[in-house]
Amino acid sequence: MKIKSFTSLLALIVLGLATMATASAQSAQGSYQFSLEDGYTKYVEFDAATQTTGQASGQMFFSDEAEFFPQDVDGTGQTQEPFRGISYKVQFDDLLVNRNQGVMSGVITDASDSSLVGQRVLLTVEDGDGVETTDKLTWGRYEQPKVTWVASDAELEVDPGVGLKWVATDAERREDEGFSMPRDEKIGTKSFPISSFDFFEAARAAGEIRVQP
Amino acid sequence: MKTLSAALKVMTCAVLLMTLSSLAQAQATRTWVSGVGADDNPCSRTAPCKTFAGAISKTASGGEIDVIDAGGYGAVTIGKPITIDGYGAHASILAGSAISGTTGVIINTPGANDEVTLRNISINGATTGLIGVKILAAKTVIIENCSIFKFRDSNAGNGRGISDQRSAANGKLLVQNTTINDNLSNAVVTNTSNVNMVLNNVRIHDNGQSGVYAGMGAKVTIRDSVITGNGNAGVQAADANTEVYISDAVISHNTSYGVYAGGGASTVRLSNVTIGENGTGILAMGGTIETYGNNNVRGNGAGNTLPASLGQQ
Repeated sequence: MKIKSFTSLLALIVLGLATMATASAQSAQGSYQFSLEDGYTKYVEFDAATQTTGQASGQMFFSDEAEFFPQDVDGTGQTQEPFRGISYKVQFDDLLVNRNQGVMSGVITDASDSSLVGQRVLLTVEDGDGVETTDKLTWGRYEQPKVTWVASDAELEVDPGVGLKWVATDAERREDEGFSMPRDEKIGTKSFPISSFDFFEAARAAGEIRVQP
Repeated sequence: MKTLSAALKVMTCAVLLMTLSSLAQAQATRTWVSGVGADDNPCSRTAPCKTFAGAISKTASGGEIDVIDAGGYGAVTIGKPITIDGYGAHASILAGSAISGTTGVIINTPGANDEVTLRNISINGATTGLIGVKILAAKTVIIENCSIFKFRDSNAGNGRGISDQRSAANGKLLVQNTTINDNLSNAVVTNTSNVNMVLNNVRIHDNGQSGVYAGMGAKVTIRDSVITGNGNAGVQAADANTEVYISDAVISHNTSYGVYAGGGASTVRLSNVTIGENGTGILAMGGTIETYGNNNVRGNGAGNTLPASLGQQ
């Protein structure tokens, strides 16, 4: 009898902990179809959540029917053949939630244009439920900065270079441990303060965005 | 049941239409470009575009495109009043390659009061570019703190740094703190009736033809500038009713002429100008050169004699 009671109690505790863990997990989900001043339909579908480990995961699909005019701005300068429509899938690696706003970051894993694979993406959303404003979002796709050189001593035959890493500290504070430089240039949820994101004003919009703090 | 079903469909459609709400449609007054941006981004500070051409469609009339970091931002056609400012970064337009080139900036804004400003931009023709800045329509164009160079396409009308080809009269062009060099033809050309062009603190050097070519009755003011090493004239006034005022300038080492006044009734007025080491210092070939008695014209292969001074007024 005692064993049964203990088992029941343990089950309840485990269930309770699981419920607490689920309840405390931050998440952002939704789908949104909209068009901006260009009139072309854009669609985003996303689902991200933090895990009990503190890490976040999730996916996003984005498509845009707009016409693009690619230019080789750093090479020949030539305008290439225009094309219409772009889409890509993103695997999220981070989620930052602040009240009814969420920022998700990730990397493109599949795209209509293979050159986009590997680029970083930020999706920032605002859940308008219970607030006078409606749901809002904005997004960004970022190429990885190309650093193709390393500073080295030309007078040494085999100098691997300094790797451009150092620790920045406050010389006036002995206890300052400093932080490594250069700062990580990889675009992530903390690259910009949430307040700095400008949500666009859509010409037409439909969908639902939910953010769970 | 069928009536209820139809009513439900109507309600569903109504809800859907309401959901697809027409919100305020507005382009951003300020947009941004970055070397790591993308043209399908909204061009905001946190999600910048990749090119000027991509940003311009997302920028409101009268708005501004700014540059976050150093990069090449591509040739652009401007069809509305706008400012493009590369302050704080090396903002470049590469308009040529080893194979072929294009025009760096085309300005074609039809509005009667449209103003376009290009500021802090390097416009590089890379030896095959057609024209650095081609102006087809705009009330006012301002080019500040720019470099325009190496537009060397040899087809007629190309190889120019700035080519003002407006058909409407009374346009304004202000170029200041700008360098225009190494272009195949004339560096600055205005062929527009009654255009008012001001060149202030401009360096124009080593272009294949004239440094400044003013025709078709243009009114040009050149101040505080150096015009040197050009293949034809430093300043060439062509066509009747063209008037050029030059003050506080150095015009030297130009192959053919320092100052050339041709084309019937063109007039060039000189004040505090040094003209030296040109093939011919000054030449009035049908036009008129006026001096205010404070110029320095020496050391040219010929044409070292100014007409009688009008005196300071």
